[in-house]
Amino acid sequence: MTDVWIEHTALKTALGEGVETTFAALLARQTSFTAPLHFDGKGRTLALCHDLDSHTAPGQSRAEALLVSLRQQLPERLPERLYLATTVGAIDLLEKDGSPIETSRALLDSAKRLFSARQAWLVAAACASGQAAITTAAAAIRAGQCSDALVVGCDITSEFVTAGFASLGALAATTPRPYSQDRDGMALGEAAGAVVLTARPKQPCGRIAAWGETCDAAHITAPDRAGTWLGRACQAALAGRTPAAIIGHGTGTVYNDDAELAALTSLMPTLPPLFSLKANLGHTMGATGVIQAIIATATLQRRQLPPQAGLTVPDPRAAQAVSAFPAAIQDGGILSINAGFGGINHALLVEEAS
Amino acid sequence: MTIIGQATITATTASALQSGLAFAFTDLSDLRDQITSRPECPSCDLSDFRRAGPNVKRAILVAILAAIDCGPQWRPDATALLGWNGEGCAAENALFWQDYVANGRTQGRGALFVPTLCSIPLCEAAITLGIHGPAAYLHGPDLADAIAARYAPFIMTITIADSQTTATVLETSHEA
Repeated sequence: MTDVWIEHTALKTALGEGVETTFAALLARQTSFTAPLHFDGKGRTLALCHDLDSHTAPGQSRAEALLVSLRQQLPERLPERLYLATTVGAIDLLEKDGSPIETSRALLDSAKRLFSARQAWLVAAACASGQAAITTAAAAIRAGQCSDALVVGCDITSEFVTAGFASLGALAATTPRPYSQDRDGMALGEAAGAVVLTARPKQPCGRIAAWGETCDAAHITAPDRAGTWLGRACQAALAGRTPAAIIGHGTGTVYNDDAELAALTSLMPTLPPLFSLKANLGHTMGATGVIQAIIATATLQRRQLPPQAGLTVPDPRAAQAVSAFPAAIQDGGILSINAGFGGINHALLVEEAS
Repeated sequence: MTIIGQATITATTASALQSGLAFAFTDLSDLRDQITSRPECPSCDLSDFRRAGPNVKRAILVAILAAIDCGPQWRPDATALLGWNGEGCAAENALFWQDYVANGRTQGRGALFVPTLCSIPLCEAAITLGIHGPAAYLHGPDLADAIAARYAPFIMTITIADSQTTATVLETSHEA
């Protein structure tokens, strides 16, 4: 089977521009929650890229401005195939004039132009879109449909999405506390990440080793709290291997973290170090899976997992795995987990390039 | 790759390719009643059907009809769902936003927010039929490539459009 390597990465988050900047901030347990200036957050704080407030041109989506930042970090010559993960795309264009447009496809058109792609694919799997796009691209490489592909995950903060999640009671009263006993919800964030996947690596920074995908088929917004099908996705990705660490979905909602911990503890009696970046970067929806894969490569290169921000009293099932301090990791890959509305589960195993 | 089941729903008719089933209907609730009264209809959870929007209703019904069309080969545990092109969720986005604005921008309605994700009709079909394979909505240039890149023994593709909604179930060479 053809190996799929990660050749380049690019990242723009509320903690800064570039992988190094964001990873250093994660190691320092920095968080990034502030009040939005581009809409009335009604007292809520979000993980925001405030430079977009002034650097978004009239008529341009904030999401497109995020992609421009990624483009500047990537090599001039990029793969011809593009896979874009997003949940709502250029949703701010709808907010501006209210007319019905396919906002995800609008962002796909922008991405195709910005990254000079000949073929562009939209991959939408709710908040599992990021990893779903990576594995769709990796599967295309394995199937010999292409030798390389650019995968981009991008979502912005918006009044639209904030009002939607607020209506579901999914938002934290203050800041998110993934894997803590007193967690009470998520906080939204905006970010974009990109990985270049290839079958012909020159200087790879990681390898897409395996993945598993399932659907709970239980409830449209809530996960199966027993984590049965999420566990099966993880099992398929691990195939008997023990990961060095886990980057969880860890939204900080009671139900998500419950399902995740149930799934993980059913597979591994002793969990390896566990971390969620949503207490630092917020829940960046369609972008989070791509960002998690990027942070997985950075973790493997530095042999250090970032500390868990927002941690109070750990959930007893995670007590031995989460830490408020950086953790040295053993040999093995990083298991990254995504879960999305509709019961979509996704587990991805990223290994070292060497 | 072999087609083992296929179904189509237009504005007033529905049909299944292999089994030759055909229905004329007045509305989607009428079609639901006709399909679920068939003895070969698989076990379905339709408890939330009444509250669903038209895209979700069409996705659910076309999926059930395609499952019937597969006959004994229908294997929900081993089937992946792939939403393919179609009309996305522009109408659902506009509906949620206009309702939120019209109600003073104080509180969105969760029931209108959830369908603003393109993958929701597929997942509603998964819940109805107990389909546990991967689910994703793709928009792109080549369906054959998209199918080849899904690892599942069976793949159900669903394309939703106002004029015609289609579901096709394919048997692949992948093992469970």
